[in-house]
Amino acid sequence: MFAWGADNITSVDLKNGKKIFIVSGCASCHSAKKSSDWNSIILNGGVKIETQFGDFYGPNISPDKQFGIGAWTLEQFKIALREGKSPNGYYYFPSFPYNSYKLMKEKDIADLFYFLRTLPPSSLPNIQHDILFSKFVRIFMPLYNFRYNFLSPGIHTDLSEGEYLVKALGHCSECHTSRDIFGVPKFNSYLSGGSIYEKGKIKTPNITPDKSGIGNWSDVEIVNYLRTGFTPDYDSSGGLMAEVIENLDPLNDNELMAIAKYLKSIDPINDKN
Amino acid sequence: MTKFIFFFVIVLSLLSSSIFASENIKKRQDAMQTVRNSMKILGPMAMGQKDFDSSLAKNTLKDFLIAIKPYKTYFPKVPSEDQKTDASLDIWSNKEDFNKLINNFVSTVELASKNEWENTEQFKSDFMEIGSNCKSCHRKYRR
Repeated sequence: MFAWGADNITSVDLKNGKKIFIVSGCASCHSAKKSSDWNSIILNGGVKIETQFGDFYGPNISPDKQFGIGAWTLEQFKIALREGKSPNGYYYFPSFPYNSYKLMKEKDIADLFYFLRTLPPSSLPNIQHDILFSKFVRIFMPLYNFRYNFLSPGIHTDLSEGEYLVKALGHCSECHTSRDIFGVPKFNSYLSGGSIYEKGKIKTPNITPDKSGIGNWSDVEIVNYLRTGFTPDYDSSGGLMAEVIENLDPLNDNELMAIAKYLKSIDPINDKN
Repeated sequence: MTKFIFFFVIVLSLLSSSIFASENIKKRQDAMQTVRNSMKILGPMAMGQKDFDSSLAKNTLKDFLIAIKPYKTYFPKVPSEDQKTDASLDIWSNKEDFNKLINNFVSTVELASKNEWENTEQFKSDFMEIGSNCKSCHRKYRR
């Protein structure tokens, strides 16, 4: 496994936990009843995520001990986020972006864990995913993870601020990178646009610094977009991206600028689709 | 002969419903293009990137308003799933909520177009209110 270094937890910062919670977009999948009152949001799951592989439903991650994750330890929470494995031993489907969250800092995971504990519990049972041979497919998830790790350019934890926000918390690649037939991201198409959601009907844009992506956007225009949802042409973002932009609200201008700088630093890829 | 007429009527009705759906989509896209064009004029003035011109802002908002007033009528009773469009199918399952958002949007633009701004800050406030309407509707109903 990965060496996470000197991230020993000595104290819990709930304010940071709340920030990590919002920026990571947990509520987007785990709260059917949308609310911007982050201190009392009920994470009872039920949000439907339509993909080419079937319909997934975000589970209850409220602090309820029976139906949510209230009985989990921090260690179990970390394993879920970093290895995509539940305390019961089964593997999650990658609709839960653990391959992005595994880059999260130890401290951020702990702060997030304790922040989740402060939210109201819900005894709403999980909705079963609607995918063909769900139980059978789940058995093969370690193979998916193996393929992912084999093809991935490698994991390093000394990420710059912008890279950390894009790769780990923002998990931008989950939507903006196309996938192969097994659902593993095509790493050589990193952030050049994907089409996973709404059964492939939605094409997410290329956000590499190519002209077919955001190559013509200045750093300030990227920051402005992430802050307001308006493109340089004053078009307004929609759907999931509008929600993502709301989730970026706790980030200050320097952090948004770090995202912009990182996006402008990656390899430009021409979006041929 | 009867069979031929029956077949002809079916083909004609399918064709006309498809043309009708395309026309609606075209009207929606044209309206949104006018909105985008208007925002491209209003945005830089609101953000202080260009000099504020009150009469230009007023005229732009007038065009904006004309484009969006009939907007909600461009959504037929049944969605056309085979057509390429940014409109989410949720519009048809939450028509009441969608129409409410469009009504709010139209009222906001209408109110703004009647305002007499004394400075950029006052105009910016109206612009941001319009932008907030764009966002709340797009978040729910744009794919």
